[in-house]
Amino acid sequence: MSELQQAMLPNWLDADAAALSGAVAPAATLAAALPGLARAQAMTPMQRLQRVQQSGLGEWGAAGEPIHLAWRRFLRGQGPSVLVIDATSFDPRALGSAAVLQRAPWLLAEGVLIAAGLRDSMTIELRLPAELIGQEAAFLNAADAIRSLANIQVAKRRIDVQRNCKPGCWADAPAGDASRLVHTPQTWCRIARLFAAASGAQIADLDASLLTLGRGLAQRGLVEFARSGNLRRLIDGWGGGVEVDGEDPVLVFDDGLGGFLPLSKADLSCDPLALAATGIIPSPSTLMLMAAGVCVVKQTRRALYRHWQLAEGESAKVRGLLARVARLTTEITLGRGDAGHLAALDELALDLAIQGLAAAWPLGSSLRHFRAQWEQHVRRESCPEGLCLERNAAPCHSTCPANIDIPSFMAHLGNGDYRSTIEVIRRDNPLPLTCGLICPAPCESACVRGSHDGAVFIRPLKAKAAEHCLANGGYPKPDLAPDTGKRIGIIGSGPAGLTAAYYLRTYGHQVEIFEAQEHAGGMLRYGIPAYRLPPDLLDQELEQIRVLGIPIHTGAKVDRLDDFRKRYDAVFVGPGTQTSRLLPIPGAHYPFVLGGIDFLRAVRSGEAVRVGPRVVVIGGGAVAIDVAMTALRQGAKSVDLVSLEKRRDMPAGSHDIEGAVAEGVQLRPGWGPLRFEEEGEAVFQFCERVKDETGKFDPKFDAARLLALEVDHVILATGQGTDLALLEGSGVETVRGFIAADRKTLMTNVPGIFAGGDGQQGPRTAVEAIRAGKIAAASIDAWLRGVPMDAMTGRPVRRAEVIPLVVEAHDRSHRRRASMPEKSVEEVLGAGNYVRIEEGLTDTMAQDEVRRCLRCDVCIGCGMCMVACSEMGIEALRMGDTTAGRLAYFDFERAAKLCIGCGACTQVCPTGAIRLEDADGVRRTIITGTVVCEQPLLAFSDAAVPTQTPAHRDYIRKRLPLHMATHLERQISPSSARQRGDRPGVPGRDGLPKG
Amino acid sequence: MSIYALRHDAANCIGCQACEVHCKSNKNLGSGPSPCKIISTGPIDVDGVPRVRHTFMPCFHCEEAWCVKACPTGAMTKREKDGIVHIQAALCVGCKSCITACPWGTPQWDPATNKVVKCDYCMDRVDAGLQPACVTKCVTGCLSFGLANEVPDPRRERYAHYLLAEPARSE
Repeated sequence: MSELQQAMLPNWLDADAAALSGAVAPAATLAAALPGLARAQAMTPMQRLQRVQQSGLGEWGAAGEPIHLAWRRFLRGQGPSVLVIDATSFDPRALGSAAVLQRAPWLLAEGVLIAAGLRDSMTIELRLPAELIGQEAAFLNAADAIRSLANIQVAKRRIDVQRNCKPGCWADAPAGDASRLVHTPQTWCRIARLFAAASGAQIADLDASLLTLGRGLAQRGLVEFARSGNLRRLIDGWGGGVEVDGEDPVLVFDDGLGGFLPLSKADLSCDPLALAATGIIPSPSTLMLMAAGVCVVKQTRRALYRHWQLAEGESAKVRGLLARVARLTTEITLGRGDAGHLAALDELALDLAIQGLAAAWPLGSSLRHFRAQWEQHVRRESCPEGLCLERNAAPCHSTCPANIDIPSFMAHLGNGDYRSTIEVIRRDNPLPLTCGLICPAPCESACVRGSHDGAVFIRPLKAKAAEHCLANGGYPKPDLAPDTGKRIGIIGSGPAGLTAAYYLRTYGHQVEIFEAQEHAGGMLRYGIPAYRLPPDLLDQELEQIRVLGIPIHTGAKVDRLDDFRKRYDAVFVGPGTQTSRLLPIPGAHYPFVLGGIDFLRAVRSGEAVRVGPRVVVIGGGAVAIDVAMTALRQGAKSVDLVSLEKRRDMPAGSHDIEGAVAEGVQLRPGWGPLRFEEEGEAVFQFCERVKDETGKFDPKFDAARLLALEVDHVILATGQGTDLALLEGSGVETVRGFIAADRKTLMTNVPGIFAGGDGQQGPRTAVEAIRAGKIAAASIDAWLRGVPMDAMTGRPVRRAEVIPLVVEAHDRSHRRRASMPEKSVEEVLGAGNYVRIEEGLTDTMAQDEVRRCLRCDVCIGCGMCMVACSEMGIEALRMGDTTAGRLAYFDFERAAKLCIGCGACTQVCPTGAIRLEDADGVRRTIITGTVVCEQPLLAFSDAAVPTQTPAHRDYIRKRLPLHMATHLERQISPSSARQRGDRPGVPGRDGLPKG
Repeated sequence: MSIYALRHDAANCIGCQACEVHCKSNKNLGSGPSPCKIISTGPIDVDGVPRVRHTFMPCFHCEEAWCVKACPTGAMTKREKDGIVHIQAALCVGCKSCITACPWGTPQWDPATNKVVKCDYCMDRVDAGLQPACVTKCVTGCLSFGLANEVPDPRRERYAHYLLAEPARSE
């Protein structure tokens, strides 16, 4: 809570109280510690009510209603009663309740005790949301201290702490329940302050509430929100106003659950009624700003889903209503809405308000203040963010720098179709084996399943398919376009050069690759240790490129780019980053200080490099790990890995770090190199932080804390540069030591010369170089033909439509991520031992792993099936929230118990991800390949094709009055019923009762 | 029942199904759903002549409608002002409960929209002061539509004409 600025907060939120945890009384006697209670005890319940009514105090934490209404209702009730401190909030980021619990526990207890005298309530309930668990300590301490001050031996009142509470879906507490008096923590405190003041005295801050300011505002954190002020002027006053670009930013109340308002309409009073009249939550707890370009329809959809989730356990009618607005809004965002949807939503927004549901705020305010956006969506014209109205690719697919169509290749793999698997992968990445072994797999960090039970292990599956193809005659050959007669020269046979060559060849051009080193592969061969990428496997993959008619000239260094350019119609330069960048610190020139990439290259070239026995590697990235583990194989007995970053912030993958530690590498995170001494000592200073608040690299050191390590060799893995000598005379520009090229087309300032990969973008991963090669190929092709580049270049494109694999529901729900079989440290460690560490997934493991895929390409996570089922009142489907901003099925078992087989889910599904299959008298409900429910179908008496399950018929029967349900016993199909042309009420026909 | 009556004079109906065509075209429906339907039976022997009988099956717009009761989402509703039973497409989730609940299979499934569609007397046209599509384009004029009290029942009229014409014929 250190970010709280006391100046902006009421003085009763005592900053010092937090340290005391409520255990120490603010005064020596009970009367002095609880002045309000002392005064209240002299008043009858009705006098207390009168005091509250006269003050006009409102429930500023939620509905903004004057609290005397609740008090009056409570006073009329009979029987046991409960006083409730409701610390939940629509927005978990709200700080108000936490601040009160920590800093004003005595005031909070006092307020509750004042109300306890109304009906002698015996139970005090503290409702804590998940994010505030543990914050109840100060309040409980204060309660104990009050008891000891008052000499109470046996506690009379019980404090009942309810944890993991969620806010309700109601705008205000249900009016019917007179046995509970519910207030937010801050309101209880204000009650205590009201009674502490002499009657008739003005209390300045009663007319204010606690508001948490979020992103988009210059001032962040908790402030006091003066309810008599003008919203626009208050916003401008808080620490300098708004920090959002654009014309008219959007005010978002309670994370959207409290409604939306354009800043231009914020010129209004903050009085609860004034806010309510604008359609937003009368008493917001958080406020943030979004830029004007935000899609409010999408935000509304998110808020409505949350409201529906909060209504878990409410009546079917309430849930149905909330589900309906969520579904209609979702249909609109998916471009399936029409004017009827908007009209229905208008009516439903009113209905929500009449029912007293809080979902009326986001829906009502959004429909009212952002009408134009809704209409554009309904007319399917445009979405401000461009994200609605179109089918977005699966998160893995769009995150992969090469944009491999991962769900499709996984499904092919699951079908055992390795050739199609490789075909799909190679549409976007010509090096499936290499990437399957060494890619850091950004796709896996995007996997929707990651936040649930571990991401699908995508990376090794590519290698699996590649190995099968290579063992059976090689990869399937791609179709080559007819020869165009154009010749393209490529400098560098690293991943960028190979990729550019591969795709240019498929476009029908003649390509030649020139490689300065003795062997092809670039960084793949000389920068990645053989225990990760064995050279024989790399050779196999390179052969699959060569066979397309792509010659790779090795040992062929291109000295002058301008001469080279003249020989070809276009040129691609992918030189990579072959040189180590040394550190500008004293002693960096000593011979025992080596460059990391030079070291790796020397080892991979077969040179007899010996290091150690004591080696220090400096750097925290993947290269540093490779260097450290290679050093262990080149003679080092002890290796210290010193990184600027703390361990969790190191750029290297955590699995790689663990592997290095297992081999005996000593991590020393959080140290920056200061100097190297000639006699073999490396001195480091402690690094307090690496990046500033905005995420910019700006290390801060503590020069007093030093670390000195005795070394035989220091290897620097802190940066790489590129050799730009070949550019001389060509006129190609450079920037910060790398080749400058257009970000979209990768063309340099010299027409016809393109550049990409590490030599252009700086040292990055192989898959990013592959992306560059692919974009360059498309760009070169377009340039040669004189046409604009395909707009989808560099964006995810579907490469196949593979039917989801058939997976059993229990397996799909519970199967855990495979763990990679690896050789033991003893087997892989030792001088000159470069045996591959990973053994690769077995075929069985691979088959199990692809079946964990949730097929996010087919199921886009819109949640319509789930809310449609909720509208039906069945609630058979539950999707989980994910970090990817979409919903996903993790539970494939719930439906088996609840589904009635009506098929409404399949009718609203925009993609066919959930579908029905009627066969052999059985209806199966299938979610992306997994049968979630299996039911028999009812046979019709007229021998028509059965279309209904017994559960569905029972469902209809229950909805109809008895006299209307009888005709269902006829069991004739609807078309037969019509054909018979019955007249209503004709006695004796088709089972209708006579008379 | 709705305040309207849509009458079918079976004697003048030739079973051309123009009503069905215009109904579908007004509602922009593809093959499959048919909110109104001509059910033909026969041929039967009428005075030694083979005849086909035609029944017009739109929706009865029941007072206490099965479909309205069965609909779980409130999509199927009875319009208060005139009792037309109609479906609000946006609210339909496609559970088909109404189709099963209706004793006459009147609500129709539209595979193009994955929603139910049914006869609503062409509410939009009625509200604009027009006749339903089926009536407007009926080839023989055997369909008539209007307020239930105002539409003459063709059978009644024909019977009256028949009675009036009887003496002349016998002369």
